Amino acid sequence: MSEDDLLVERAKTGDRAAFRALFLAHRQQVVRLVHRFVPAEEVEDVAQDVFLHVHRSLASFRGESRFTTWLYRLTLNVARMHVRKQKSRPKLRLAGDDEQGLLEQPSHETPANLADRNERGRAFYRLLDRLSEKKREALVLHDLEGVAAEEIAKLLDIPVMTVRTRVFYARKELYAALTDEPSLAGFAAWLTTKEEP
Amino acid sequence: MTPHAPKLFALEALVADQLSGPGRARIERHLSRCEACRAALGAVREYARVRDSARELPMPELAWEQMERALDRDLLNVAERKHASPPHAGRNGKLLALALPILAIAATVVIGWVGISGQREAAQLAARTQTKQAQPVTPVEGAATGWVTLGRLETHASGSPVIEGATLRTGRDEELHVHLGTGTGIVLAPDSELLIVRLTEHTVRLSLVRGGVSSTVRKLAAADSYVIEAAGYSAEVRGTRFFVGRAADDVHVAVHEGKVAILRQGKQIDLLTAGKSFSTTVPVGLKTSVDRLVLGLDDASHSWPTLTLPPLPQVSAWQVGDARLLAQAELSMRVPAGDLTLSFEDARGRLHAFQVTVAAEGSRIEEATIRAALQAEADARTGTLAPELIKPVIQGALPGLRRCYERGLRRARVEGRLTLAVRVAADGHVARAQLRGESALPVELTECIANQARGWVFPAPDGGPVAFEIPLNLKAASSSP
Repeated sequence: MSEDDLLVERAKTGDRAAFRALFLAHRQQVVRLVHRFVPAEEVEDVAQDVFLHVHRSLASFRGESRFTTWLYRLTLNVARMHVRKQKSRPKLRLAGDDEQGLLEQPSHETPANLADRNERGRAFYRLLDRLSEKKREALVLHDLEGVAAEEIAKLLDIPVMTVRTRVFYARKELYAALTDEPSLAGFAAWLTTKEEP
Repeated sequence: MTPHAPKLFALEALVADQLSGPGRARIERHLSRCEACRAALGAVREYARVRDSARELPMPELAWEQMERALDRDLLNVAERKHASPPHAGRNGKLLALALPILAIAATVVIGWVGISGQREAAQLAARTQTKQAQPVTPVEGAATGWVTLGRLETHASGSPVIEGATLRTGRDEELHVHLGTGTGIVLAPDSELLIVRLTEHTVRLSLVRGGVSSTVRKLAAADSYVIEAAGYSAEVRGTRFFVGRAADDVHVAVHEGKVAILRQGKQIDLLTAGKSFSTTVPVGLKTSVDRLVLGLDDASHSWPTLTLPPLPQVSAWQVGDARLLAQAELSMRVPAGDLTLSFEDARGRLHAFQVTVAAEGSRIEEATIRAALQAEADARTGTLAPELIKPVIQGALPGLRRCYERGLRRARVEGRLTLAVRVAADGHVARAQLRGESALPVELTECIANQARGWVFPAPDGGPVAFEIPLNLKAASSSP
């Protein structure tokens, strides 16, 4: 029995310390995965929602798959539902709203370098927005999270070949889109001029 | 050579350095002759770079304390929904018979634990609950639920803070005395944490997260149960005084009166009688304060004035010392007259503190008091930053702003006045930057400028964060924004 399984068994009996241990062990993965799908300012709320769902649904976890697989699937479902709900709701977003506090993170980099790299990262997410939900999920899990295609197939309940196909076509769309994204233009120049200390 | 569709798999393998020497050489030879493939390779490399940047974006931190408060709220909401559901009309007698105890449970949860023993009283309370669910709950006179010993301050809380889903905590030098019903109560030892999992007329289920808890339990009927869980073990009792302690996964149970059954995964593994104990190991310090009597278990009278905390939209929980009381209903507590510092959590789990003066005849916290406290906090956070300290930072940033503008010009011709609103954190970093214009602006421009601004570092302002606005005048003919 893995450590996760032992904690899950204890958490099922209402053991708050066991649930805390599960939370601490997996919160970063959940936050990271949620961040791939929802705007930065909503990440904390959605990730918290994920753990509320975990808490409510632990009793239904039978241990047929690994806890992390179950958690990833649940995270994807919660993020997917959130995105769909947000899309159906009219919304006014101000430029710059989504990164409050990010630059307050301690870093050895100069603020200018960090800002540029953050800008590239955010531009990448804008590109992801152009993908269909299915392609985006496959690409995020494979290219950003580093999850193996076989594991993604289990998570999304689709054949492995479908995972590979979706990742391939998602990348292909992004390669084409890269040339249209102004914030990503001229990175070769950026690399030679901006990465100096 | 005739242009062809580049083989992306091969180019990706090349960029990821996954090719053998000969394979790499073959592709590089081909690349030297194929312009389309070289362009595609550029895109693949570009993709790898931006993907890595996206991977490295800083992530927000999810704190356990905030998560735990959300769990408590969730448990409470679930319990309330469950208890608030009226029985389905038109069922047979058996269902009706089941519905009566459920209604009685709902009543006890909503108005607080009052140790109701009679079925008739329970039914009457159930009827009251059905008609008054949306009303603020008035504490029942004499329904003592807690004595909180906080150094020299002794607070008597009555009402319904000790309900399902609540978490009780004590600090290092404190202990919490809680009345759960007639003749039944607990003393939460210093530095302990206890979750109220189930609290109904017939069932008490507590989960000890850490520390120790002493229980005094009245004689229970056959259908009643009183259980304390800790680290996968359960202690079930029948009219007794006993102590449960927990340090990580180690559990210690000591019985002073009556009998306690120890269960593991639903199976009884020990039955303890008075003077006996059970330990998985004997952790240092776990066996202290094993026999504590609940203060005032039979005496609810007190001469201190009453402080009333009504449910308010800005407050999700009150904090009195280390005791956290959910603000779901009106709470009353007896406190010494005079100045008292109270804290409360807002809906996002942030803690705010303010001072009140409790009058001899009692006091009530109004919404205006909370608003004033929040405003005072906001005022206190505003610092100052001299214009001569702001100016050099903005001047140094002009080349970056120009680049944004030139990039924006590729999309659309933009001219006019813009306002960049900046909030500088206490350490001088820009916490927030927003660009506003008189008319619609290309999103690339607004985001680029706001992103640039977020990278600025000012001297640390005096006295806390500061906000100001920078006017920007954009003219395509001019070289400066």
